[in-house]
Amino acid sequence: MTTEIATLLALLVSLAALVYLRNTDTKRRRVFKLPLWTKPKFDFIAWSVCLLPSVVLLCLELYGPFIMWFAALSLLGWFVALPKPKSV
Amino acid sequence: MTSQYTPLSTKSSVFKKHRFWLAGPVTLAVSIFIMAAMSLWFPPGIAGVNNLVFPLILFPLIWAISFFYSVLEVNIKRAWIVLMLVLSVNAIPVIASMKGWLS
Amino acid sequence: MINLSNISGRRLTDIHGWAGVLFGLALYIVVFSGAIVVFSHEIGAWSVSGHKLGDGLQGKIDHRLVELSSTIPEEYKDEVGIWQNSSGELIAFFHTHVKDEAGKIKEKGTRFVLDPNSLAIISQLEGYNDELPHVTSGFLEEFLVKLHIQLHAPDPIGLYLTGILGLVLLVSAVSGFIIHRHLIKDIFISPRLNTRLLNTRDRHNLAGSWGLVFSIVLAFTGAFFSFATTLGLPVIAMTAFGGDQEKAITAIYGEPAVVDSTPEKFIGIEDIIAQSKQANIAGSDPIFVFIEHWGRADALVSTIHQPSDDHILYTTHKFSGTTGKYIGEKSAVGTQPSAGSALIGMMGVLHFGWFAGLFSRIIWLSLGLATCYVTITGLQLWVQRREKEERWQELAKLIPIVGYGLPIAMVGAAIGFILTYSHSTELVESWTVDGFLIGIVISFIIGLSLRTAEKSKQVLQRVLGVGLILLPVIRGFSHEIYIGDVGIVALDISLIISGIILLVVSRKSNAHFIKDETKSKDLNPERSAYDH
Repeated sequence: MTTEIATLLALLVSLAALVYLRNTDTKRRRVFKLPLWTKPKFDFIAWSVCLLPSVVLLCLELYGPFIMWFAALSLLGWFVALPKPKSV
Repeated sequence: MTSQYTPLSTKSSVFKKHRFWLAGPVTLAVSIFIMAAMSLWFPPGIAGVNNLVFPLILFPLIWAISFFYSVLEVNIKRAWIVLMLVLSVNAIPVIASMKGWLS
Repeated sequence: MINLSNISGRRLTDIHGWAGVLFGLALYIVVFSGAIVVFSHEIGAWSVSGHKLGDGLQGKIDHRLVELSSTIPEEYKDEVGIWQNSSGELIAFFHTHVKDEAGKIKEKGTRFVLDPNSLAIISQLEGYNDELPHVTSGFLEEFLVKLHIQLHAPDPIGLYLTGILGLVLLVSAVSGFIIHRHLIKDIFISPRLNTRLLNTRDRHNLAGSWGLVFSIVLAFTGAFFSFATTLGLPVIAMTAFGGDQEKAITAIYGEPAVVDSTPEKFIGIEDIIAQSKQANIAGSDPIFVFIEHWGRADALVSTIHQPSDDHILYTTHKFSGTTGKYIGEKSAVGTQPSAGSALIGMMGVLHFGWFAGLFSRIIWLSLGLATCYVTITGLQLWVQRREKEERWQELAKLIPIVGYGLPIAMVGAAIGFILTYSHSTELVESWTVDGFLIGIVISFIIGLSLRTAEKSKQVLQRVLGVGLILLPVIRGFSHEIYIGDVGIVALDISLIISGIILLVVSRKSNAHFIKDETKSKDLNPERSAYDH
């Protein structure tokens, strides 16, 4: 059970970072004619947060959750990017 | 030999292209010989299996590297030379071992 | 992503495209069936409604094994493999190694299939392992697994084929990565609706970009599994062992510590299994028990266990076959732990996704389906770019036929299996295969009789949707309904939900594209450099 919880927690962290990255993504906003993101952007920090679970899981020697997180991340990113922005 | 690019989809036979022979059969032969030779020089480790297991695992990677090399090398003459060199360097110990000269 | 000369870039684009056109549909078959067989054991148990769930390997079996061992030739006690298949039946294969007419080393022996409750013999057959008929109860599972591993082609051609397809996937993924010049910039671009072509390209690029790493992982590990025994091992045996494959295999599995053929009573496996379940040894039920040298002083018993909560690899534990004493953990290859052995274990972890129960399996199923999506959208992109060329429209029609035809054929195989299993076991094999073929024929008839690929996709989606919903119904009526097993009910529900989703999707009209694509040639100038 800890395996599942650790994986889900890690994925939640990455999900939050990916949603932020998507919403502030310059090209996405331009392509879908959304107003430009004028507030400061923290791309580097967000990507770091997104990948942070890998470091934590490896340090805790949770290899199973690490592999699952890594595999599911590729699906998660896809699902985050897939929907069109609302205003279009 | 030419580095002039012609798309694969043109009518001229793909079998007449150097690049096809390089990326196909030559790449396959090179990667098989690298794998075989690797079993001779790779440190076997305490369990004595690393020299058998590593070449098996690395084979798809070795193949992919030689494939992309033969596709992306602009100078096809150099690609032939490099691949043939790699092939012979690896083939010599393999053939020597098969003939029993190493024991 | 990588700056290339124009010529190399176009060459890679050609390779990416032609690899897809020539091998894409075959690749789809291997990847889709691979995604499905992530749940092969569940499908196996489901296909027989989990009708035999006795104690099996966990019960009192020693006495019965001794009885069986007294009825077979002495040499078959050389090695014994004991396991339960997905339907619960207990299989014991007493065998030895002999060379066949062609000089190939094969396992030859007697295979007993036992009822897990009564331990009564369901079947008893003698012969070469690879020539023995299939165990009927596991046939659907085996059929699907073989489709993935070797496309039902004979050995070793099938493995070569899937190995080559693994390399094709590897090349496609890497070349796609290199030619997609804005991978990072476009990583959050939702598929645009400007034109159908741009939409398809965005869908292909987005799914391909996110799935890149894992399609490489699956392709690489898959190619390894296909080529390791068919190509790698013979080549290495020739090089390092003077052509002696037996020697190479012994080196990999490890020499026995001592050889002592003095007759000595075999201790039995009940006590050993109980020991192996203790937390300090494996802490779980073994899924496979392997006995070497039954009735000799050097008898050994190995128990193989599935990954546990804190261990992602399968583990093997060794016990003495005369005293029952625990000897220690055995590496996957070699006699001692090694980097090579750990790596082989990891190849399995990464390819099968069987290391953390249901959760990891669901992720691996999704990864497989995502790879299928990239393959199919890639093919669609190819034909949509060539919409005016007559010859490519045949391929356009073939995409939904194979795309939906394969799952329809799998449903057909399952229906064929279920309908014959409870009534006439001798027909199971032929009707599972026939069901699969009927599914293919139906898909082709539908696909070829309808005028557009779009229309045939819609009808095939409905056929598949109805098929998926029907499966649990047919299973329920054909076997005794077995509510007790959560796995079977869960699979029923998943099938029904998938069927409903397909029916809903098939009702949806096509997305509206902003521009009429016949007029818009310039989709997006910054990205069209390598398109043609």
